[in-house]
Amino acid sequence: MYKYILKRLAITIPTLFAISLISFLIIHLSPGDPTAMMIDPKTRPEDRERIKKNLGLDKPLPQQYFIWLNNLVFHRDMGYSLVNGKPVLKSIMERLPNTLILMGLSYLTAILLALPLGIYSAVKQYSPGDYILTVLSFTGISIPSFWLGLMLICLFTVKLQLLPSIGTISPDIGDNIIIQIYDFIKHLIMPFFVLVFTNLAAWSRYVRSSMLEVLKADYIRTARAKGQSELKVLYKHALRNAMIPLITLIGLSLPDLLAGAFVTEMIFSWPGMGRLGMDAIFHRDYTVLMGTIMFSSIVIIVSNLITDIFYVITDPRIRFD
Amino acid sequence: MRGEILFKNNSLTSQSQHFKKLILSLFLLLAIANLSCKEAGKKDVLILSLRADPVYLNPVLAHESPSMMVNHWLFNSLVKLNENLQPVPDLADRWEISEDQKHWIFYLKKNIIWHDGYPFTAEDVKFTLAAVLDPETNTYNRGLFMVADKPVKVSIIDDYTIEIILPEPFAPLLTNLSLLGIIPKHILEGQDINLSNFNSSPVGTGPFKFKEWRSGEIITLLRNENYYKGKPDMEKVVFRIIPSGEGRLIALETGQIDVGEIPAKEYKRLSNFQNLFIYRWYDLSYYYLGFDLTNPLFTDKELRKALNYGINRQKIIDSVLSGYGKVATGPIPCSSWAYSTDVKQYEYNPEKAKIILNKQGWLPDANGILSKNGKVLSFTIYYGQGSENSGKASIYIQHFLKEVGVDVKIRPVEFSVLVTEIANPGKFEAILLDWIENPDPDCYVEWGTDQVKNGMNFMSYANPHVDQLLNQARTTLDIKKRKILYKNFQKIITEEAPYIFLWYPETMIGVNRRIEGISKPGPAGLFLEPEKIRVVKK
Repeated sequence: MYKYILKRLAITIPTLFAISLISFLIIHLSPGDPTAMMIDPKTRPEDRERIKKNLGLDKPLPQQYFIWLNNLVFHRDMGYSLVNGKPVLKSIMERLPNTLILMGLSYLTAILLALPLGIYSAVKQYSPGDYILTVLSFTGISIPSFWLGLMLICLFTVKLQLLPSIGTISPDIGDNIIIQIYDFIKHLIMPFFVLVFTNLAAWSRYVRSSMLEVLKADYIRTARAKGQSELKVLYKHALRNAMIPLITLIGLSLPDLLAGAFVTEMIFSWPGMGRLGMDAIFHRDYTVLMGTIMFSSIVIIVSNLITDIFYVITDPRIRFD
Repeated sequence: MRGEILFKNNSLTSQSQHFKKLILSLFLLLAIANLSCKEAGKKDVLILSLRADPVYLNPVLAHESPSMMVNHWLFNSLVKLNENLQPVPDLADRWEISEDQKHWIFYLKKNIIWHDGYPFTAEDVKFTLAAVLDPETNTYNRGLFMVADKPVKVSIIDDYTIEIILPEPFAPLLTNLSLLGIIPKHILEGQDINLSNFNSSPVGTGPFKFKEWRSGEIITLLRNENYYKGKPDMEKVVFRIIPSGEGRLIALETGQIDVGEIPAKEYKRLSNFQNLFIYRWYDLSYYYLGFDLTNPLFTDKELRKALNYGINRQKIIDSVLSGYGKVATGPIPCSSWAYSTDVKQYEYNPEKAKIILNKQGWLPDANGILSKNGKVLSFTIYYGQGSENSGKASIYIQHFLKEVGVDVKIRPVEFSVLVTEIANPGKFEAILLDWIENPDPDCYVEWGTDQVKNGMNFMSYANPHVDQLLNQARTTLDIKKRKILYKNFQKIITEEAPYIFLWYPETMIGVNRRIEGISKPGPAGLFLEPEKIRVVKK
């Protein structure tokens, strides 16, 4: 197994190289550049050309790529933002904790709730409980997160005046750590709920359908026939098999933990990675964009690896070879 | 504790009931703490909002509104603009102009200290101007101090006297100086200004000191106890970064921020709000539909006039801006001192438009679309995607011109692409944009013939008479003489109709009534004297 993991890790290097080359080309070849974000009578084309030259954007594209690659590989330096001159790594690190907390908590909650709810729906198929859950989850899937967010703000911020709708902290909150944490939780509730609700809806459907399929299988009937308790049948035989597609699903969602959720971040002014990435796209901040792309590529590759390892743990038919 | 005992005694209480209680008590706690927080918080704090993170908290590099809004509280310039956009002393106590108007001597205030305690001297002024003029500095503000394509020269006379030497007289100099906050030499000397940490943790001379910047979220400033005009009234100024317009509006309504822009369509609803006062004024900007004047279609002045007559601009303002705007009459914003109404005005008159077009040989076909020599009268309007007003206005223009027989197509393009690929190289037929002008009416970069290549004259307007007028106006210091020159300029431009001037937008800023000390509302802003802003208890 260790050999397999090492082999997989070895492949990541050429993969990352290919990702960096392709994304570098795509983002540089798209029209516009970092100097074009402002246009007013003060912005002279002459200044734009001069600044482009200062930033090294006048060099041939292959040369620009090798400069970037060289800095990254040999100096472990992701460079500076082309828009505000901040180190790229610093820009990412400023946003990462906020994103990790929000996404991590809400995904974990969604998974932990999706499992029992999905199993319940599957086992009690066509029961009133199942119908209620089905209606709820379809509501969750079809409600756009921005709408849900705005409705929550409308209710809890505007009408009830209970929860703040902006950012992670209140201005002038003082130095008391307990109050600070409490204040942070209050800011977290609404975006957390939006992300839990929308993800839970989809995931509990997956659990339900996956469980239903497994429950119809012959080996479940066999297990029941040989007199195993219903609990054992459900959790030892059925759930373990039903988990396999879920692991894929969760694995695919792992990169979101670091990529952030742009729409939710916009609505609640949450300072996360999603907004950082989108701003970089709008401003053509190539270095920050490359930084976030490389960052999420690494996460995707690692989470794919973790997913594969989990397959082996849950499904004895799969072997590392 | 009481709840716990109750729970233990009641053997029937189920798990779910316990859970319900937990949720309920949590909410109760929230509500109580919320109230107490509101009482405790924001006593002596002014809370402002920004639509995005500032790019640089360094006035030499800053060029977009979030940065300038924050820098305003942190830095001082040699001069600043008053409510009427006229320069008044700031770091400079007074100034003298030589006979030939090329030598400007500024006498600086003494006893001003930087936020870190260093004394402010003429060296800092020289350093700042050198930094903004250095070609290696990634600043868009360099053009402010390029006169006749040459950089201005600076020489220090003594610690508190500095001379600025110009290649030729230059009227906008004071206004341009008001846009440049002075930065400290003792911190930035020897550093790469483009990458310096200073840009995110600045040191200025202004009424407030930098405290903290949480990226994408909040910027906190503390009052400068040693401010040269006296200790500011308020303890703290906080900028909250709220990217969405809805978010800012909700924050303003719920008191999470004190000041915020109000979209025209929300004005009516919010004007009834008890805790808000809405200030309104015309900013230094105008919207226009510009034509590529090298395109054979638009070289015909009569056709351009006909298009002017064919558009009902009042109707556009009424629906797109809910009526909060004014029909634009020419190339100078209505709040500028150089604005003149003695110009050729084009009222809405589709019949007249049709008659002119027929005279020029454009005849209607079966569908009512005009054509000449087999060529249909048709063009495309480009506008920046995301500018909701431009998009709606384009549709109205399309509709009005169709009535006259002109076929208009509309193409929204992403903004940075619009600049680099469409506007700058002049690859368009018509373009809907807005100009945000400097407080000085000098607009040579937009209209000068040599600005087609080097400036912002995208439309390729070329008229030696206008060149001469604008050049004269920027080299004349006498405001009365300048007024006459700009009046003639506006007359010529409106007569030639190179643009269709659409509207002057109205700015509406809502301010929480707990804030006092605001200056007379106008394009110079509401916080001209930040040290006088105060929070009143109600």
